[in-house]
Amino acid sequence: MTEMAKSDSESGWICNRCKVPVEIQTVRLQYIKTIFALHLPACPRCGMILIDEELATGKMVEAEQTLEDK
Amino acid sequence: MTIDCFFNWQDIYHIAGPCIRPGGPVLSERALEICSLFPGSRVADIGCGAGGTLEYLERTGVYRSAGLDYSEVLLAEAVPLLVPGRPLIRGRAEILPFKGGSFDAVFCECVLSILTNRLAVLREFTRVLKETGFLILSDVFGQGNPNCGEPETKPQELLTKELITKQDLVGVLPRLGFSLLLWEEHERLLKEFVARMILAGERLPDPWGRRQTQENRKANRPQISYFLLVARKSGIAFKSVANKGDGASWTIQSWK
Repeated sequence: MTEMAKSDSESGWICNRCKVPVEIQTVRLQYIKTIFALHLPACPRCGMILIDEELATGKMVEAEQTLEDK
Repeated sequence: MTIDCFFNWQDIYHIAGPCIRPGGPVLSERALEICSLFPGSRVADIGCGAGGTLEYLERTGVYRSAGLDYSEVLLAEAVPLLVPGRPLIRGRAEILPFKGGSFDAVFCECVLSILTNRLAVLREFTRVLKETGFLILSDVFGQGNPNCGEPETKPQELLTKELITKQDLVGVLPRLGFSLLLWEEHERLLKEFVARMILAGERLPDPWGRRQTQENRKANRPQISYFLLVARKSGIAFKSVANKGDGASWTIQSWK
């Protein structure tokens, strides 16, 4: 089952499990020993976080390369 | 060429908070461990930005601090962080509006690298510090080109190089009347700061955001790191000598 689905809500996404619109929340991402706080869409009920492809393959990859000098 | 000191630091401030630099207050705290400052010491933060260090100093309740920055916008962000009446001055580091011998310590954190006339700035620090006053610098620096030797840099060349190097800075300080107490490298803090900016969608000015990639290695671009330096005016330094059983004891040595 796809975790998130498009909707007409303000953010454009709903949690497919909980059927509620996602909200922008402060999410902590940890890479090795470093924690970064990001504002990402997340389900207010189950906590599922949406990381879109652009973030995952773009900024997160670049940040990882910076931390590892790749 | 130096980094544009009019870069949009306010955008960076909204991500990084009042301490617009790698490590936040961590290195400021580390520097204070080295400096033997007494309660009531007068401390200047040159390039204070949004007041992160000033806020930290104020929370200790020990020091009398003053801040100077060229950005009115960032100074305005500092005002609510500090007790009313704390001196916050708009000005340039190259021409400090303070009398000679005014301060027991001067902080200049993540600022020197973006200034055009670094030697003039360092001379101003010498002027406004009291005898035996402390200079605390932190900033990005180039780790040099391992593929060729670098001649000793003349002091006036500090203002023309894109990147500060350890050799340049440590070499010029004695000529200004300082003795080096501490040099530490904190590359990890810089990488974390840059990564935080990347995730927030902000670009730092080159070379701050430059990564040590294969491409940069081939182009012989120096690797970037971050330093903390503590120096003392008048060539007097203190060295600790560990004493087994009795804890640490202090020996005063003149390093002239």
